[in-house]
Amino acid sequence: MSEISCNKLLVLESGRIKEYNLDEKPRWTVGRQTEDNHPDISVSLKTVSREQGVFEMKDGIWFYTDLNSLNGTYLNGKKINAGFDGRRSPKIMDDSFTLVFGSGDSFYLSGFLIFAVFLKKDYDEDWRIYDITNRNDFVVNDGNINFELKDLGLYAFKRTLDGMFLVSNNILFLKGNLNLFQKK
Amino acid sequence: MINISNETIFVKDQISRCEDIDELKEVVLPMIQDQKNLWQKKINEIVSESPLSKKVFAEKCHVSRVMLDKWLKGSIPRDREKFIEVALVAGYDLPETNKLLTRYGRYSELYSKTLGDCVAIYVIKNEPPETRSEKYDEILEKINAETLNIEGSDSPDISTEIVNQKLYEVRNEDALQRFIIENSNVFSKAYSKLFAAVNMFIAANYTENVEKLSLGQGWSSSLKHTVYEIKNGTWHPNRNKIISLGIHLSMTHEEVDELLQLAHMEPLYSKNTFEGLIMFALDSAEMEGRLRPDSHFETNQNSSENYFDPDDLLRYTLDIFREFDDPEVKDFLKELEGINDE
Repeated sequence: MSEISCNKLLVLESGRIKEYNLDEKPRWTVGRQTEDNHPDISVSLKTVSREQGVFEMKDGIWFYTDLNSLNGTYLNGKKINAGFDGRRSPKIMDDSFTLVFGSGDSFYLSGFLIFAVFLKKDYDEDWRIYDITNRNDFVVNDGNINFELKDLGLYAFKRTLDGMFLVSNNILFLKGNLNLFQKK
Repeated sequence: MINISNETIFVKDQISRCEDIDELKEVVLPMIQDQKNLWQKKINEIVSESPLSKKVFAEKCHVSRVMLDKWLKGSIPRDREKFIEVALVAGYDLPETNKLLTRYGRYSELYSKTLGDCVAIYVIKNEPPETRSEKYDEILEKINAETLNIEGSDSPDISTEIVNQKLYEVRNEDALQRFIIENSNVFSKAYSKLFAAVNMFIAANYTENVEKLSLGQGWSSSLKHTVYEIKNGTWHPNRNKIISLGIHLSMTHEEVDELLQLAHMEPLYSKNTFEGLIMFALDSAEMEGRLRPDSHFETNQNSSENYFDPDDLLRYTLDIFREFDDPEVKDFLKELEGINDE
């Protein structure tokens, strides 16, 4: 397993991860796909706006700007204040930053959302995928530390020293030197 | 980082609750322990304990004797560099220097990923107190821009902990020179996020109209120069200029705090009259829904919904500042009005 520097967006929808290598171009639109709207990062969830936001690279740094979308965007659990009316408030993206699109103010309660993670570091391997329906029974271990899955929210991302994992409802995605254990 | 006391949080909360300027004047400002008093007490203590005459002390800090007298009367240096120079002349160790910067200057602690701070850390750790100031100047003079390999800016980030660790192992000037060359990429990127954030904010909201905005608002030439230097990635951040830029660009409180943090500075501080007023202006403007899309200025979004008055926050802040008879507030008023061209 080797580590790769990148600027990548992971988007989780319907229990599947879509990966976007942002370095391929300097601007990526995010939104709900319709007949006449084809965003670069497209989702189908109806609570996501057609023009939800945009990822843009400026002077080598990636930014996300919410385009005053109806249900807003949460960055690391905090709703992005899109600024005064008609203003844009670009937010710097850094490794492991999480974004939630289309959840509205009921972010912590609603399952109707799109969860995304910005990565600056990835591993040259595929995700290992596990069913964690009884999540209280499972822990992720990095060789030293146990990460209790019951302590995490419905959607969560965690990077460890040489691995990372993503929880989406009852599914766990793992990469790097991490293992899933079932508690006895 | 600074430990924010309960009192600071309380004052910040009280500022955000003030409904008008009269309430701010009557209720909150008396609660604010003026930063000037703190600084005045501290600099008087430092100068009186120093074996140096005031004249020599001022020379070593690269200020005039008159400026030192102003400091002794409570005038706070506007430049973080001056706090570092005072600490070096006073022979302070690292914790004392960081305390001077954070508590009395509201600046960030010494940061090994910026060149000046790196040299300051080196001299504090390796030079005797009486020669630190001269050695600091001497080393910085030797290291010019050519020493730094700016082209290497694409290499991956190194954590501050690793840079600190490597710097603490440096024991002499030759090793310091090698350390600086090897880490030139780190120094060239110290403020790259700040510069990118300002450039991105301008691009997202003003496109080509930032010049039009600067003419319309009558920016000081120093503020225009700041934006020019940010565009070229050559600016050395100054706290008041960041705040001024934020107000001219109609930023929210949160956005100004983000810029300050990208400049490795503390967010706006409520226990200081001047910054308390800035916080009040920004919070009130947001609460009152200022900058409604009813003005004549078009953003780059070319949509009829995307109109706002780019001067509203500036006018609002000016109105608040004009009601206060305080030297620091008046000084910043000049900056906002475009008069202050230091």
